[in-house]
Amino acid sequence: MKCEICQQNEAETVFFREKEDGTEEELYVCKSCAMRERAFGKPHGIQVATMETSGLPQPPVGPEENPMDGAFDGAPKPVPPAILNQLKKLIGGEIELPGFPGESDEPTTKCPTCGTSLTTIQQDGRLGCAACYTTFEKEIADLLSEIQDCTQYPGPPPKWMEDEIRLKELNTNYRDALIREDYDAAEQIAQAIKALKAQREATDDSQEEM
Amino acid sequence: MAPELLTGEAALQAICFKSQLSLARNVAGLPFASAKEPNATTLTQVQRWSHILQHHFGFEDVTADATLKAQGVRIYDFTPTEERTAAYRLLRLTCVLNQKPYTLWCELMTENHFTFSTTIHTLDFEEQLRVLEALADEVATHIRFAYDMRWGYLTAEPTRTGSGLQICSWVHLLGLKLSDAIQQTLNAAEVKGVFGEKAMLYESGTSEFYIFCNRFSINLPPHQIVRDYKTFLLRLAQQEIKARYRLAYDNTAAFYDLLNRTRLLCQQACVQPPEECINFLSAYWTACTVGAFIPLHSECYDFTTCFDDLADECCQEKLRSFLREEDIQALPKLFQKMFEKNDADVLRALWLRSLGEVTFSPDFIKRIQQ
Repeated sequence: MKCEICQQNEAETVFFREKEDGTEEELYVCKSCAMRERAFGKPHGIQVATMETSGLPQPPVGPEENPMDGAFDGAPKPVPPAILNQLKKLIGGEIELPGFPGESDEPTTKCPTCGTSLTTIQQDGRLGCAACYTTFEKEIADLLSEIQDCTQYPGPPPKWMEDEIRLKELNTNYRDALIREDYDAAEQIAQAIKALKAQREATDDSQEEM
Repeated sequence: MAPELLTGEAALQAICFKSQLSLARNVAGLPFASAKEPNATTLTQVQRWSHILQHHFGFEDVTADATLKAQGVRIYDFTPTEERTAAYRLLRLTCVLNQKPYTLWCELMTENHFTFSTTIHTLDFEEQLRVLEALADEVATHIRFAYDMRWGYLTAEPTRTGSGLQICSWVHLLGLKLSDAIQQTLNAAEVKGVFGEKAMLYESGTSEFYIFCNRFSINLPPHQIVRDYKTFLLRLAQQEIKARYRLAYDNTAAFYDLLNRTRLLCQQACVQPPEECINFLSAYWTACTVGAFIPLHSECYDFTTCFDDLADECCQEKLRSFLREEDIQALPKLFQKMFEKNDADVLRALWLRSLGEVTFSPDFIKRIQQ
């Protein structure tokens, strides 16, 4: 379902908007519209279903800053179960909780690890740390696609990375063996995993010593 | 110079006088070097990395080396002195592998934590890359580098993300420059994924020297990047040599004029400023490649000596070491006098004097007379 405000992105959350005649209308909107409308919610009269209304814990918000203030005439209205179910369907069973760290509708503007902002990266052309690649994944993919015409490194992984890949494979095989109830194979794989982990720990220890 | 320049790697040898291969690596879990001013923790980390490189790989710390400080930026393209932080370290590894000498450099805390590089005057890029990669991989057994299955090696500059590889070549394109084909060449390079620009060797700049480097580092595995880049350089070299021949044959009078001035100035090079010296070299070598000049001494043909490190600073260093070993009296009287006056001038004179010892080839003179 498309966002009922921008008509472009997929709808991911629901808003209740009070009309001029006092009745309420429900809108299915995307994250960015939800964010924009939440920021300017008061003048636009748009409300978002919050944890308050869904019965889940809500982060503390000062009375002045709370965008919900006045929207419900002081009393939160319960969200009808049908809407909650709809909401769950829309977001794959996980309710978006506006205001919670990491779950905000707000687009990430700073890397949580090094604090480098997207604006700084765009201005300086330099990233702050490896985590910036994850934090600004989409933007960096766009940038790389523009400047390097590619966003996937085809080179062979380094040697030490091969161990990690092998470990992942072994873990998957181990799970599969357990599902198949092939305990002999599972035992062998478990031993291989153990050996690989011991080898890695030994390497890490030698690094620490240095 | 024989026309075989138009084929094979000889053309490339004639135009490319220096290349630098470098690999950028960052340590997993730490902010990139360019992100923050170094604090006490960073300094400790750098000390540890430096220790690993010195004790496990035989690097020597040359951060404080005065000569490298003065020449390193121009000759090896190291980080400019004013951009270096307190945590910056420069390490050098000299080794012999398969009976070949290698000099590898590692800069710590430039834009990335580690920048392994090598500057070469030869064209065996693939071999040099193998050595650099082997070194970086070996270091990775001691220090875990930031790597992502999607992006490859993570670097501070998105232009190096992927392999972390950058190849730069300094090339001499007087033929294309005088043929007004340089902009076309730079545009063609762009299409081929290579970025080219004028090399600013001195403040005044010398417009017939250009720097080319790869634009992409994520789209292909490093060895493929090197192969493609070399193919591009080879084509560029062939174009340049053709342009030189056209210049010598189609516009002989103008070319003769340029060469005559060059020859005369080379003979009295001691009074010329460095940028002029480079200009002489440029015209001199172009004349040699098209057979207009015949050097009287075979060593004058040695292109790598001619443009080696592109600067008289190197020459100065060579002569200084010579003077340390030999008695100054051993120098000819003329040079003794000049040395007392200004050693830089003497060095230029010594360096360029041999270049002045050339004669026009009979073929070329014949064409002039026609």
